[in-house]
Amino acid sequence: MSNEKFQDIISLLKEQLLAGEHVSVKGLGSFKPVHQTQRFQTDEKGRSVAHPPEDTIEFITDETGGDS
Amino acid sequence: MNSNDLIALLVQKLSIDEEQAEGMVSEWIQHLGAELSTNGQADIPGIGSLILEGSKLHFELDPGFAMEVNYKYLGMKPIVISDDINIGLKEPEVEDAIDDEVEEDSVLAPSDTVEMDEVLPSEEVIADEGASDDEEVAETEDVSEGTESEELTVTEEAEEIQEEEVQADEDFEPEGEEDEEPDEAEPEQSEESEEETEELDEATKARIARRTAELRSTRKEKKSNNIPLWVGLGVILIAAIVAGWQFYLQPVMQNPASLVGSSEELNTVIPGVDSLQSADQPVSQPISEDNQQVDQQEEALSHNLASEVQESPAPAAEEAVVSSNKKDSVVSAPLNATSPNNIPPGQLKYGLTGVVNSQANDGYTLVLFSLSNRQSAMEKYQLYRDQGYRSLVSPVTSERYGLMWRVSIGQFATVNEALSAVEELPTELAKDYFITKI
Repeated sequence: MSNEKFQDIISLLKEQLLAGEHVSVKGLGSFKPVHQTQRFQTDEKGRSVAHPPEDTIEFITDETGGDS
Repeated sequence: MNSNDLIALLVQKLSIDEEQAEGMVSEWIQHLGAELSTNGQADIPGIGSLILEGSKLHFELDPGFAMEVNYKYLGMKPIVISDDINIGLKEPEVEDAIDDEVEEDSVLAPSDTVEMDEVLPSEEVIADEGASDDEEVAETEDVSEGTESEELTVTEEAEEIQEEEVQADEDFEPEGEEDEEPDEAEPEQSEESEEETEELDEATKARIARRTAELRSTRKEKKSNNIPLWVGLGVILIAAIVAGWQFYLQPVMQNPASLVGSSEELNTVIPGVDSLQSADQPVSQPISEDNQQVDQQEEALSHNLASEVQESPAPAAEEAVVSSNKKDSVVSAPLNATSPNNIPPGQLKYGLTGVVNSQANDGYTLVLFSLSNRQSAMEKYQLYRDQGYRSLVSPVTSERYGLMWRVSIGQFATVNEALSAVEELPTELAKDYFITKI
């Protein structure tokens, strides 16, 4: 079975995630946009390094079979 | 949104009934499950892959989609905001230590060596007093030229003498022990040779000490000869900076309005700025049906693209950072800094609000936007200025995206001050900012 058949679902999912929406699919899991703020670390040379913010997507498995 | 919302959207978008939409979603989940059970991995094209690791399901984001999601911060790399390591500081300490040793040796040497070598006086002056006048410098140069080639020979000579000394001691002692009952002449001879050996010891030690002092003194003179070279280089560097300031940045700073003027004016200010229009919106936009979101995303699309623009992911490590720094020449001087004379009395040098102080450009600022459209950037600059912030706009040249305009607010002495100021910002600004050096 080809993924092309599910292209509409995938496009919709992608669209929602880019809009910052949390998408939960029953029986599969949840896709969640996450924003990580700027953070500071000290590197091995003792220098302070600023890491830029980052937006990413996290996936949480639907272990309960529920649907939030 | 949950599965029901997803189904409802499918119904709306594809003009199908709800049962069909439910069937599609159900079929897709079954398909993913089958892929996972057979391959241990199920692809969601354009989004990522679900990977089965043991009993856990792990999601790996598609690199292209990751860039789309993270478009606001695309190309940003970690920046070093403090560097306390300065290897150059340690060198003088070493030199001082050597100088101290030389001085000690030099002080000791004369008393030991006066009797030893008639050639000594001119050389000892150098070791003791250094090059304090022209004649001495000339002498030093002569000596150092000679010493440089003779350095190894002298060292070898000293080593040979030491070896001879040790050999002489070894040769002497057994003779004294073995010949306990020789004829009477021999003890006299041994006493004489003992005295000679002692003299030789003193002579050898003195000579080694003198040569060591001489060689160290020569090294010292050689190092000090580099100072004029460094001074010359420093002068050239300062002259280049001043010239660059005079001919390139000062006209722009004096008349920032010209940046939003006609392209003719701009061409006289910043070469190559006419390619600005072609650099607008260089990255593909995320899909959105909501018009308001589209507007926001268009604006934010180029948000913060300016700093170290490069697509390679962070694990590319320092080489990537270095190469990106080389590729992107950043003009970080703000265009609208006010000279100290025009600053309201009582205004602190650093701060979030007030008038931009050109003397505070050695600190940090909160970058809110990096826009490819100069008009938009100037509008943002004006907006925050009207709100009372110290608003700055700086041109940033990126090899990939061309000329960008970085809009930031505040001038802060330290990163901590900048972070404290973030707490005073409205939520919409506080959630999206990046601290960087001005």
